[in-house]
Amino acid sequence: MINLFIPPPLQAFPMVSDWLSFKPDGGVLLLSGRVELGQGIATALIQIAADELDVGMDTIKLIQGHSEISPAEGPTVGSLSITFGGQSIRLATSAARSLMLETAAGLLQTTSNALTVQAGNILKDGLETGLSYGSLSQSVDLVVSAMDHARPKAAADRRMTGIAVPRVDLAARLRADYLLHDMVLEGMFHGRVVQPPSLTSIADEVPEPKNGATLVRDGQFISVVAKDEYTALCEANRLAAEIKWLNVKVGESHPIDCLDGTIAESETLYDSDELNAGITEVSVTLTKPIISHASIGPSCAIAQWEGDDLTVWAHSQNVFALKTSLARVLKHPAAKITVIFAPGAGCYGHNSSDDVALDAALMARGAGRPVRALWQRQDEFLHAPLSPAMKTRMTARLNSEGRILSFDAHVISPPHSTRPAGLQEPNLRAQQFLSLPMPMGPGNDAPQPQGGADRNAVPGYAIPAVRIVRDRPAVVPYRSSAMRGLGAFTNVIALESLIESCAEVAGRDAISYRLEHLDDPRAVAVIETVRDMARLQPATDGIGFGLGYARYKNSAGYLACIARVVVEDEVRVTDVWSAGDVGEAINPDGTINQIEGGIVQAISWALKEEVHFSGGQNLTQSWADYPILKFSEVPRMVTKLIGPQDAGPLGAGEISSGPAGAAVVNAVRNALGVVPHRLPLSRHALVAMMS
Amino acid sequence: MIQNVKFTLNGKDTCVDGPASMPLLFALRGFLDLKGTRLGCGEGHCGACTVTLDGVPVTSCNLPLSAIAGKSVGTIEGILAGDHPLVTALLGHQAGQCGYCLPGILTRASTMIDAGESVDAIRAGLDANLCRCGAHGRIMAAISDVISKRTVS
Repeated sequence: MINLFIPPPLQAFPMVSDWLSFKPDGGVLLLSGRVELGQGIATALIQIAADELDVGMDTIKLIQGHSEISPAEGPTVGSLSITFGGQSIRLATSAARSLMLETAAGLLQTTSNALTVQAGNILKDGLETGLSYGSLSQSVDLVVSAMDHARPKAAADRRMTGIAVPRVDLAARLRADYLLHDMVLEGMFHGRVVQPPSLTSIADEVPEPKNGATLVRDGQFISVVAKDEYTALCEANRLAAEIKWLNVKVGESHPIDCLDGTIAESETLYDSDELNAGITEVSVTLTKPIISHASIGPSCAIAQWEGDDLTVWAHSQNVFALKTSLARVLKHPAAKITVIFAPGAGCYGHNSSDDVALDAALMARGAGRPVRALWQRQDEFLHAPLSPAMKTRMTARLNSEGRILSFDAHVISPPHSTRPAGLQEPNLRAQQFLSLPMPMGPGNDAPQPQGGADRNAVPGYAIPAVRIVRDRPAVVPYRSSAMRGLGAFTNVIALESLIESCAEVAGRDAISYRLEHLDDPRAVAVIETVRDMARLQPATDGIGFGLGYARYKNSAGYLACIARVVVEDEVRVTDVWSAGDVGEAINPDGTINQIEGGIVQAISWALKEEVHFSGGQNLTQSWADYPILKFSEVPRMVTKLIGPQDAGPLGAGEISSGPAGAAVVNAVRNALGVVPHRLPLSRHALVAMMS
Repeated sequence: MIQNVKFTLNGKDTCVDGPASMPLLFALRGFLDLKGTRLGCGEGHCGACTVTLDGVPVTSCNLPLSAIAGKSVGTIEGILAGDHPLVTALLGHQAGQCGYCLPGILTRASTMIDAGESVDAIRAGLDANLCRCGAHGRIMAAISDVISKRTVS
């Protein structure tokens, strides 16, 4: 028996039947807790199952994120959907195939080795046997341990993975019957929340909604429900304008200033006695502002009560935690709550999709009918969780040959997760406003080696002595939570900026200098590849090239990016070349789409994005206050995957934020001869840098 | 005031009852069962709700019903039914991730393609449509494909 890695979801859900079943017509019902957020995971999971089962992709129906049916794998986060979720499906489906062939071999008085499968039909010596997955569907018991029967194909025998396959959901996303936003239930009304302006505020008088709309209120949770969406919107906006709020208290401290204020908790994650080694000290400090998820579609949920049974449709990253969180806030037995994932707009982390699910449940209970709740654009900017402001200071000490002997990182940041965590900490926004309010929990950061704020603060370079300290500021005047890559974006930029500075001090070329400090051949390969892809030229006035490299979480995919920028009044990124190694790529075209999407997003963060505050007051209410990268600003991109397809999959969805951000920041540095220390690199920041 | 507004929708005579101030988007989604047009910001900033009005791309979330009386409105449903080559090209390039912005982008870009606009003009025009997943490059590649094929033929 081969020694196979058992992914955590398969350890928790060990039976084949936890992951799939066969129907008499030959159809396969595949179950996953991982959800399709626009990242293409549905396609990749179906590819894996089709490959192991030898069936067409169209015979597989995938159910994702159903609290009562799917394996409760937890959240769809951290670029883990293939490495954990996909590998679980690979093992479970391969076990199902083995079980089918064992039964068929018994019936045919042969051995399973003599049998093959084609499009779900079982063949012997290449000829049909009359047996198929469909015909055996009722006689093969799948309630058996997957690991006892798993025989996944060798990489060379895979046919449906490692090839570019069109997304199973993309065409449907152009139409009106796919998204949760378009779903309609019998008798369903529409709801809008009137968001209290602060956590302490109390509505003095709430006028009655007009035009047939009704008020659903519980304490300071105030919402309007109406038969049609426009009436709900108008009446909610009228209430918002007319309600006189008392006791509106807004903090005085600006979120960025809070990073230099009192520290509530300081944690040393790695330490060394050799931190004084080296003779030349080089330091870099980088401050990143608050960033918004800024999904194009506002968050939506639909809730329906049938007696005591509550069903919620949500585009949540974790229907399992949402279910228990709803149970806690609604004081309702979890056994009577079903949460079903339905696709929404793009999701890049913990946004308001869970919050709106509680809103919908409250509205549906108050209105006595199914309700579709939708947040407004301004609520997304003002009240949804935000990617926190953070500051990273990194120091390296070099010996006389320029080699880095010690490294010290100090990360100051609020926690990068305040996700709903069930009974202990449901963290759904409206819970704070109910008649019996529940305060939000403090959240937490994932421990190393994944890390939260400190993600990728640990250098991937071979440095003998390393210390990593993470500080949490005492005052956080906003909701901080998870967004693509967590602290990796800031930390990778700071580290890659530091490496450039060290190379400068050492009098070395920055690329060779990196290679000398890397002992992982896969890291070396992506950097050498991207160096050869980019048509590098020496920096001239206002034009610069920059490299950014990281292995995400020091355990997922490797990526090296080179950016070319032109700096005039503003920074324009004209080209980005990238080389990645994600190990096995199930759908390489989908992987490149994810990597390049992450690059565009990272450029937007690095150059443009900041949620503006005055003191503790969030001033960002619309796209006019929060520009993101536009079509005319998106660079030409060339991306190569060079990873070995016979190596394990490493995860890809979040690997580009850090390297792309670092490439841009280093390119600007090389164009201007000044090291950036504050993001975004807006026109205003350039003026400040040059003065 | 509830008003009966008559207009042409994807080539067919249509009428809808609603307040004169109601944006077209809510009439399309709520009363005419055309949900392909998406609500993004409600302020005309993001382009997710783009439709055509007398052949010109406009945002429908801030276009009152009173402004469409007697005019011709085109939506994503009309473009999909008409098998516009950009639909095939977008799918061919796998030009999207979450796709929430795509109906608006398809509407604006296909209209500009049909009007004979250049790739550069369409790129500039699409600055009115936001995409957060970062599929811009693939979308532009699909648009270029359609235009170059048109130029050849």
